[in-house]
Amino acid sequence: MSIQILQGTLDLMILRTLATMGPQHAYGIATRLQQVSDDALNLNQGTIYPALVRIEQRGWTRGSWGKTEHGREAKYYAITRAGLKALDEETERWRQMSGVVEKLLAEEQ
Amino acid sequence: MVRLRRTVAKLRNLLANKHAEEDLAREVASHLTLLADDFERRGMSAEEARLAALRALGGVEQAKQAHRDERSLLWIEQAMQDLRYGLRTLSKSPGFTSTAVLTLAVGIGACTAIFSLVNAVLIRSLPYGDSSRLVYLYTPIPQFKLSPEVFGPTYADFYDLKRESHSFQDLTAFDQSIFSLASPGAAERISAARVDGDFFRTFQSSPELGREISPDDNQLGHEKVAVISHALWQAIFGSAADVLHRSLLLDGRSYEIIGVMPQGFEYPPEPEGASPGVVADALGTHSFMVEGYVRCSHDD
Repeated sequence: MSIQILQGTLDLMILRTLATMGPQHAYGIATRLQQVSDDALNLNQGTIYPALVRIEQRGWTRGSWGKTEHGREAKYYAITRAGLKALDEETERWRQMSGVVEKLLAEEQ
Repeated sequence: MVRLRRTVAKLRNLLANKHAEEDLAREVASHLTLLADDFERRGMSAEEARLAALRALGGVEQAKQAHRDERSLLWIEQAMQDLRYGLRTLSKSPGFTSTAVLTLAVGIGACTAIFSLVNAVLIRSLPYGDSSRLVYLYTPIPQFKLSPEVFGPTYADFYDLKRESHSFQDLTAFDQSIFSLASPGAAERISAARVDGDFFRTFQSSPELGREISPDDNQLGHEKVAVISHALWQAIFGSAADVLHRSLLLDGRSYEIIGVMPQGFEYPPEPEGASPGVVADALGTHSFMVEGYVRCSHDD
């Protein structure tokens, strides 16, 4: 079963990926998201572009051009200090939200 | 803070859009290359890998457009595009464009001019007491085939009216004209009015400083006196407190200043921006043409 990305969660997932793996290019991030979700995430790799520009404009990441291990050029995104702070806040918000939903669903059964 | 930062980034994008667009194209191309490289490593042919990369990305143009929508203030960008398109279209037909521009220019200019006039004459209320009850009085003279508004009452008629008529609360006679005002080192043309002793009562206005012109001042042999406007007081006397009893040289004759009107009072009414020059001086017994500015008193 493939799942759709919940509105607003892509930013959080990208920030988490960058915090864990260090600077990554768009392809790297998208591949990582697919791997982590065991390919359940129905993700056209192009769909992460709006999220990438959004978090870069917020100052949470900084993009710079570099070379991959195979010598290809790619734009690498690195998480900033503000990005790490935002990640903490977003994580907390997500935990609260999913906790509420989880609790509700448990009670329903 | 974060939102402000984003708005600034979006605005900057409007100016550096070309750079952002090139950067995006480069990034998407590199993304496709990386995808294709991976597919090739898994054993696809170069062509198969290229197509598979395109599929995996899921629509290059959609991805770019989503990026654009997110990165800039879309409505401004679209408005700018529309504007550029409009200008291009107009520049293709200069004849039509110049006609349209001229029509608009003349239309707007005429509207502004007429409004200024209407505003000055009709809308802006007169800066005197109850101005809605002020009326001009004319004496039509049928022998002259002219509009009745040309003739004011004669002195004799004026005094008859003043004595006999009960329709008016107050009646005042005055004469507007332009004087040359001599001040040290310069001469200025100012508008002023010669008035009788009932002028200030009729207009329900009184000076902020000093006294108004009284019927006594109209008597023969009395010193010539003047009440000046606030603006003139500022311009010529620098708002000096001891302005009273100083004198003013109008058309070569000396007038003693007996009062200063408050700000906002202007007479004769001046179009905006005219030189400050509201002076009322005592109407002598010389034969001036008389206009009657009268105040209804139906005691309603």
